[in-house]
Amino acid sequence: MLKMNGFSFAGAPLTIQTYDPSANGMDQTMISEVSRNSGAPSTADTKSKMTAILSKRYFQPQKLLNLSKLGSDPDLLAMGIFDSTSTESKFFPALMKVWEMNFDSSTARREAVESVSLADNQLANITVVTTLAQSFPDLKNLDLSNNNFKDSQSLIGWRWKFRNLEFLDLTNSPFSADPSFKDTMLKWYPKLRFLNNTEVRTAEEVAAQKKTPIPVQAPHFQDESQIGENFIKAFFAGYDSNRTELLNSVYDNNSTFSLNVNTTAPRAQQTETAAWDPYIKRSRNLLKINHLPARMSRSFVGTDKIREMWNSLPQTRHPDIGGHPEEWLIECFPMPGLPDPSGQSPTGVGGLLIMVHGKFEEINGPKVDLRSFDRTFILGPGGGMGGIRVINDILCLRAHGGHEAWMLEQPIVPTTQPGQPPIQPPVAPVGAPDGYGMPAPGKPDAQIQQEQSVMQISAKTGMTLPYSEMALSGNGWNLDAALKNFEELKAQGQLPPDAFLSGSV
Amino acid sequence: MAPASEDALTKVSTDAATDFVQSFYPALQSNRGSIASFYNQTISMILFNGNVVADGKAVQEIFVNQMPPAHYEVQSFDCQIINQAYPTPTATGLKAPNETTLRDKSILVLVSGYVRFGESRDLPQRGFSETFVLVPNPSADGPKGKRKREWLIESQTFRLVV
Repeated sequence: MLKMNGFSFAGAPLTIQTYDPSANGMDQTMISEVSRNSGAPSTADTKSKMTAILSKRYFQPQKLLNLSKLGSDPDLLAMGIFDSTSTESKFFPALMKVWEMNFDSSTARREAVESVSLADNQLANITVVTTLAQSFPDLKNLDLSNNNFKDSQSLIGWRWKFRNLEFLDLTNSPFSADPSFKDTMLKWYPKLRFLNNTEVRTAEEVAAQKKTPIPVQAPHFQDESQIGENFIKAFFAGYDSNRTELLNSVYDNNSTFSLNVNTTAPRAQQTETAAWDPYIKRSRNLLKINHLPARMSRSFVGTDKIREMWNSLPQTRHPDIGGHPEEWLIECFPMPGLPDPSGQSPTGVGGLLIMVHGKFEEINGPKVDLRSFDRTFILGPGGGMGGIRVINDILCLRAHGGHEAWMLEQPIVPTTQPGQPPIQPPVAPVGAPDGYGMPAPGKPDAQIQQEQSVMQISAKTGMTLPYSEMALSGNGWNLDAALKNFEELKAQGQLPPDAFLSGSV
Repeated sequence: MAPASEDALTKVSTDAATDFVQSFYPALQSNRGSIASFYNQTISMILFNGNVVADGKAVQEIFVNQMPPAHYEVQSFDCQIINQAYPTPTATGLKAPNETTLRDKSILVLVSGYVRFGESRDLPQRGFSETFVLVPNPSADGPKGKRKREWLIESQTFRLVV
């Protein structure tokens, strides 16, 4: 699998992370247990059957995974999944693992699905389906209608999951009749807007929660003779291209650099944070680094030590400040009482304090990770370029947090049409081969979309997949044109019997 | 004064930053009447999300009268010495560099964490980044029998970043 790293998947560069062998072992065990208990010949066979089932139930244009009525799925019944309670309890976690195995990038996996339906599954609690929350943490729409959830306790395992849930359907569950139902669900899910197909919160109310009691103002940038502006522009360009040259131009033997990693910082939606290995041994988070020798060795004073440190860190690419100013927040003001390298002024000299917040791409060979940072500099007069020197350079790294936090407040446009439930399961396709219409490593997004269209035509016309594909490709992949063409040909009796799936005419 | 050892410099600065972080954020949360006591008489700049605040008294005023309850969680912080011979003001003027002690330093502190505005645990965690410059407290005594704060805020820049 690792050799596929660098391929493009779903329009995004594909990154394959080192597979944890212990986790892999667990997945294999889980799937093989399902196969053993269900009497299927092999783990690989179970996996391919599950992939086929998922592909029939995944609707790419709608980003929907329809897992409703699992108990009456003929393919699952044929596998004997529900013949014993032990298989039944292992089936769903195994199905989730098979789903995850179809993706090599966690971002692509997170972006593939916004909606899941678990309707009509006779669930009395979420015990058997609880792993859904691990596979789809950013889910927006969840249909749990026509199940037997009695009270909030039967859903308690998802109390702190699905933090981005906007639509929840628990229609025809006993819990829906409970007087506390609406208040409890509103409390659990701060972004919930529709409950049982009724609007329970407006887009404005959701946005109001993000409001801060401290209004967000434009950055305070009080420069002196453009020293701060010129420094910042030169610094990040230099840090990305030639760190040694940058050091030689504005750092000296008394400059100090240190970095700390906030490994638990809040992150932006839809992002997963790459491991902090390249930094963690240098991180001087004083909450964690308590011993004096470690605190000393993680502070770097002087050009030589800083150079050695910087050259051990991964390559970076910061966005262009001029081209993407919104991705940066830079504040600056003058600061007195700084050390005077000439020793002339006993009261210290003046300089600048500069605070920078932004993001960068970390480049590890073909693997690129997005991270956010906060970096504060103190500049004073000195012998470097432009008559300045860097006195302090202190860097905090954290998970990518976006730049919405410092955007000035703007009017909110509702994203969901009120009263329109986002989950509308399309007709299930028939006779599709394994993985058809499903994402897979190296499979282009356009191909998935085409396969999904073919399945839609097939479902509507009863034609086989090859004939459905011909109908589409002959009509420029336009669904309506293909359907119209089909009706004409069918009326003229020009379609051979083998154009149709058996039993559909 | 002979140049201080690296051990002593690291100890005095990291202890100062740790004491500060561990007392300032709890005060924002549950002892807002004490906020002004964290600030130096002379201030370079205080910024909250780009809003300029005049001094420690004004910060306290805002937190006491305008801010809802807030929960602050510091997740990471670090510090560096800015000036090893900071000219601390005294009754007779500024200390000359040859009169300074180990404590006459200015210290840069960078904090990363989250804040939740409001009492409910369900409210969103907003990531913040905050930069402080700390300077020695020039006054000899603490306020009426209370322990003197050794280090005071000379400048502060708070920004919500997530």
